[in-house]
Amino acid sequence: MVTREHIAKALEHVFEDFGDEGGPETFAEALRHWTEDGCCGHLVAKAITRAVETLSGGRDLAWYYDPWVSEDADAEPYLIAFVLVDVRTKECLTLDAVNPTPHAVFPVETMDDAIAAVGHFLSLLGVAVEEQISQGGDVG
Amino acid sequence: MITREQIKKTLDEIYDAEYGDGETPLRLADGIDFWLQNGEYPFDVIETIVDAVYELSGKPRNALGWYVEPLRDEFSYTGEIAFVLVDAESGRCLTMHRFDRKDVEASTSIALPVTTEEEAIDAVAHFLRLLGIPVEERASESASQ
Repeated sequence: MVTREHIAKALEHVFEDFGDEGGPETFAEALRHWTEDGCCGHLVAKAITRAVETLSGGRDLAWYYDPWVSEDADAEPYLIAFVLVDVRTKECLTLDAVNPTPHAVFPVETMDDAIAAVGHFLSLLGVAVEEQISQGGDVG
Repeated sequence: MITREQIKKTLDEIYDAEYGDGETPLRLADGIDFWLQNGEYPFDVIETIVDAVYELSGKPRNALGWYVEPLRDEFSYTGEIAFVLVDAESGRCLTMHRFDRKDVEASTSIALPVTTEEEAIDAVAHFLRLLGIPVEERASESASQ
């Protein structure tokens, strides 16, 4: 069972791989930049995808992510759209077949938000996740 | 087989019907020029390309899922648009592709240049082919990837 602590550690650990290019050195620092300056959203999104890959046991996954700052006063401001595809089957795991849209959008402003996003994707991949994590995040 | 002339006609008809004033005909090329000169989000260009794919493929609106993002560099739009296209019935991502290099991750999207009318036709042709519909090749070169 994947816990909050596992996800938090994975987010920081995977960030070490690409945090040495003069930018933020930790996931928490990237989050701070994202929510204060509106930059580093791609690093935050990429860290989330890498954490999912790590905690899912190295599943072959393909992603599209698009961070943006919403100007809608009624919406959460810091949003990231993710498309997740299983490379082997080409199945789009984030597909909402009713609308239909291929992406899921998450507010990602805090570590809890990021953990919820990772938990959501792990659940989609059939990985057992602490219940309170897997219920969070997706705003459709 | 769908011809490039059919695609051009469809693009221009959709663009004019949606964004024209009913007097002076508007072409998609006008929208592309406006996008590149003014740098505003190209809703009109994107919607016209997507609508043309529905019209020429005969697919219903609920058959396809799209995620579309005009790409930017630090200062402005690059003229490329990233598309993710999913067959809603099968759930398969039609734009997913692997690269020849094993150290490069597979991609869910295809980025296509849309800076001219010909490139917009290429984009529609690309998506129609992904849907299994034969399309006339561009005379001078194969469709951009």
